[in-house]
Amino acid sequence: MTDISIDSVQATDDLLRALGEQLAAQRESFTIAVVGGSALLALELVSRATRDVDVLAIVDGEELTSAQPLPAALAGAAHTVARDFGLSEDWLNPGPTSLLDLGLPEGFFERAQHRHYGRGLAVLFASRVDQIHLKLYATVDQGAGKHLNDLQALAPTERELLDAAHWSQTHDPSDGYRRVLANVLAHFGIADGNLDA
Amino acid sequence: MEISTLRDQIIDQLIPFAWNEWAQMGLSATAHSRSRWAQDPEALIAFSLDVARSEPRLFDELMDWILTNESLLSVRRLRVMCIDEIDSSLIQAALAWLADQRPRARLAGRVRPTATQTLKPLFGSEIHIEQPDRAFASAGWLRPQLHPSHKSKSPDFGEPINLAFQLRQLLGVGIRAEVIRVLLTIEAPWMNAQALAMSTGYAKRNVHVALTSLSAAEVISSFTVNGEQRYAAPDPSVWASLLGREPGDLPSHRDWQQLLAVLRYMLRWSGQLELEALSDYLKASSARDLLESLRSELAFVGVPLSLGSSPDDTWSELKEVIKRVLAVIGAGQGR
Repeated sequence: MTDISIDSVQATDDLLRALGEQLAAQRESFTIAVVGGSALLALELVSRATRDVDVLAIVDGEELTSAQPLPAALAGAAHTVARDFGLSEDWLNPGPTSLLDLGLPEGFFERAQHRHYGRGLAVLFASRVDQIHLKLYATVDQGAGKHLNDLQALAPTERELLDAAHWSQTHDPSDGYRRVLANVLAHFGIADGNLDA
Repeated sequence: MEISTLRDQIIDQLIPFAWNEWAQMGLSATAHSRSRWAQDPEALIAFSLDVARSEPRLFDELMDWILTNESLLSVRRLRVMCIDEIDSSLIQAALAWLADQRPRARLAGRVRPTATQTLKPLFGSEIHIEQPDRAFASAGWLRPQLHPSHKSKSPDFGEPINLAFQLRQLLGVGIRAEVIRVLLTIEAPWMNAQALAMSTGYAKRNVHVALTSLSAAEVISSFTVNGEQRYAAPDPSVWASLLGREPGDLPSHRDWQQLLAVLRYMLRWSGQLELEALSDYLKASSARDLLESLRSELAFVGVPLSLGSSPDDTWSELKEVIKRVLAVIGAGQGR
């Protein structure tokens, strides 16, 4: 397989619709929660290419459950779509699903944007606010680069960043994390003292 | 993406192809061009029985030809050529009809009678048939009684297409005639037993035994490279003389078993009515399934397959592959 990137709203829609059609053809149906670059593209919050679709969770009603491993029918359909569009095998992956372990920002489900891709697939895209939470955490946890770029593109307010910062500390309450977090917030012009507010 | 249109286009080229091939082999029809290759009779029968379901007159004349030339055919190879249950039941029906017309032990079928209510119309028509053909019904097919036209002739050995029959008269209907046919006609300096098995439709072990005998008789030469036994073609001028042909006038080779199987797989695929209801993407994805499944056969017959990275590419490639396969068999070239 080649390593073709997903670079537009249309490309994201085409892939997810193809996935939905494959699932429907197998008489399968899933709702997944998606975060990361593809979700930002789908909601037109940023316009950068990405190589994958990050599945945060499998959604059952209002319950979000781990996407690791992807259910066999979903993985099979994703494999076929990868073949048909020349994508890497892991274009649909449960990479961020461990975020569920320590909890998502409160109100995540209600804020998420719900879209249907045929009868086989519905997607909950993380809202802008929740993407700010997740991107801030990723920037601090994994380093700057694309996460910081995405965070800047989301143009968060001070209040949004501070809310995100407080939430992210529930995932990593260590002093080391707090120090890096303060540096990132400083990058956005927020003084260290505000973190304790 | 109109799959039924694509199917119609394929059929429109295959039926004239089949008529022309059989016309050169003794079937009652006029050949419009002279094929330069040696045909594989059993591969062409399995193919034609299926394609001629869209051309009843060809089907019935083919059955007459089979009746006339039955002694030149290998029942074993006919069965080997089947790609699926449809092929098997068509061959079963043909053999059952032959056995009715000309009772012989080798034609005696192991066909279990099929209940009348489950019969499938052979020619796709639902019209009421007063007296179904018993032999065809025994294999699950509904058609009117078939009476031989007695218009078929024996193959003219002077025609390039009929080399297989001439060799069968010379060497007997069996593996040696097929091995010699392939080695004489293929444009390759040597072949191994595996490739010959694929080209002849016989098991590799049996091909190896035949090759050993032919080599011991010094009809063909053999040599070993890196532990692999290879077999070189016999002297074509000697064989041309033996067969009463001009030197350099031996026909060319085609891997008919694989070529005609690929076309049947394509017809099966394009004949699925449920495909029409699918989205363009799912049609393309299904086409990709088909092409991926045919990858080794296409490679064997020398038809390149280049699958791109978008569903639109797949659809284009399917049409290209069909065009290439039809070109290899010379179909649709002004016949």
